[in-house]
Amino acid sequence: MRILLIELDMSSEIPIYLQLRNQIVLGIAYQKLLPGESLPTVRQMAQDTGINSMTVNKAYNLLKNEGFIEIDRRHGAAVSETGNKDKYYHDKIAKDFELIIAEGKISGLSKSQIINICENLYDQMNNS
Amino acid sequence: MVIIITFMLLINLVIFIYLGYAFTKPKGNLIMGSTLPKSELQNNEVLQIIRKFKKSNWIFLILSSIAIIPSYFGNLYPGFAIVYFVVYIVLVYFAFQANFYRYVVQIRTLKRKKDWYIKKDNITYVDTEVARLKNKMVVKQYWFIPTIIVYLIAFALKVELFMIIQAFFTTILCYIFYIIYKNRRSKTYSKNSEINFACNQVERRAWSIIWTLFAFLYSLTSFLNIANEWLFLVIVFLITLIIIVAVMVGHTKIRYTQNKLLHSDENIIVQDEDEHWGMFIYNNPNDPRAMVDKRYGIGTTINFGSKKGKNIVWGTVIFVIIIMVISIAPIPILSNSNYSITINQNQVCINAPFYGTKFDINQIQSIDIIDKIPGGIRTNGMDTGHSSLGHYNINGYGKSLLYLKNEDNHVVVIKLNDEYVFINADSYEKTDEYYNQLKQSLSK
Repeated sequence: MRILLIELDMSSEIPIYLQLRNQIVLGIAYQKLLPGESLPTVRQMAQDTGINSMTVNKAYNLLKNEGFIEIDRRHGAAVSETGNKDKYYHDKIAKDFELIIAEGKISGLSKSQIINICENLYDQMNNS
Repeated sequence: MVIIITFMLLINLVIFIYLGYAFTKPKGNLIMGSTLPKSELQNNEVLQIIRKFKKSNWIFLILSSIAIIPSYFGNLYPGFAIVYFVVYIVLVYFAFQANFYRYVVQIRTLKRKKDWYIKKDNITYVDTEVARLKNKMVVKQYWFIPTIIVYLIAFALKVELFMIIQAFFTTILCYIFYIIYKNRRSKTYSKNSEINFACNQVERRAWSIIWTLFAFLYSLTSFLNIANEWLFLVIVFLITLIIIVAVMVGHTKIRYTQNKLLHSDENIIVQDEDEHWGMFIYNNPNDPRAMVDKRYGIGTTINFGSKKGKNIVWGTVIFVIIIMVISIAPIPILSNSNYSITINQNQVCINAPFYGTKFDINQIQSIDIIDKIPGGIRTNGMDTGHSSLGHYNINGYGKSLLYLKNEDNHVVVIKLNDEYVFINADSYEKTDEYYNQLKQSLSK
């Protein structure tokens, strides 16, 4: 069953707009949201999460700039058909990996363990 | 008055019986205002508390019905019945809630003793499919068309405009509530989207039908004649009764459908929010909603923890204070001020707070003195028991300006070109003085 349940932790340190953005990115990766599928409008999302519409707007704009979603004036937001194929964006992801691998290395994860985690997660996203 | 009291008592009884009944029935994991694990809803000790509550609720209903009796003797002391009735309603509602809360506390004590706590976090869940489609769950706005047709017919039949306006005002309120319920936040009951969709749909549909139905039924009152008070009262009572029954049926249906859906579902999301619920207040700073569904009872209540909720509370308090000041302030002004008539040359000048007036002597068509003022309706003025000031519509005279210090006293009536002026003073002598003063200046 395909359903995207967004979970926002109101007492978390992570800003709400970032949580919303992350949840939608995860939803796309796990194929709970398919390319071309519509998202709730900014207003509906704001009403249903109880957060400010400016916050939702911020998350949607971030997602749009990163190429995950497309915003159409008439039809609202929808998952992007193509995703972000930009080379600079791929460089940024590689840079983000650096910090995560560093944290793993310091806390005692071996190379094969880290690769294993990555493989498992990637496979889960493809198989769901 | 007797009819109104009896009717209110009946409505109260129906509401209390229903609320008491709904209180003991589980809704999802919620029973008697507390969240319990699904497996413990039928626990023996829980059932025992429910039995005790039912008994105390019946005793409460009987006692509250007996307590209404003194208001039937209102005719002996004028004004007593109304005061008694208002105090009665406030106290009974308070006692009713307090009785509920006594058993909420008992259930919670049991819960603490048995350690029935459910995982608690501050996570807000949103089902994106439901959020996207929620506006389609209510009945369409076309459901208001019959109401509009009623008004068109009323206009065509040229019924009293006042009746159309008062009914239309209610229709607007219903429409506002329809929109509020349409845009309300959807709830996430489960990790299963279909269950979420069905649970939200039954609730939204039921409420939108209730608001459109209310608008339609009340629009029919525009055909009534206000002069026929009895018919008006009976019809309004009937409509109220139908709406209350509709709300109860809707509420039961919502609970029944949701229970059936959630019972078979493995992925329900249960949030234990008990600690944020007090006797009347819901206070959860981690919940951004300003309005939440009541745990027992029907309708919504305010989240005192949210910023918006606090604003609503303070806004209401300030509004009530302003209304009270506006309605009470004129009383001391009215009872302490004196009206006077001064006549210089060709002008009569009546001095009074807010409603003073001036007119030419040759505008006066006649001056008379009558024993007692007939009844009438206030259009724009102030009234304190036995003194009246401002614009009124007096039976048998029409448009009038009143300057009455004592309604039991005799009154000077001045007939002007387009309206009447009624004036008197506290004493008979003073009133006669006004009359003589005016008579003299007229004869000059």
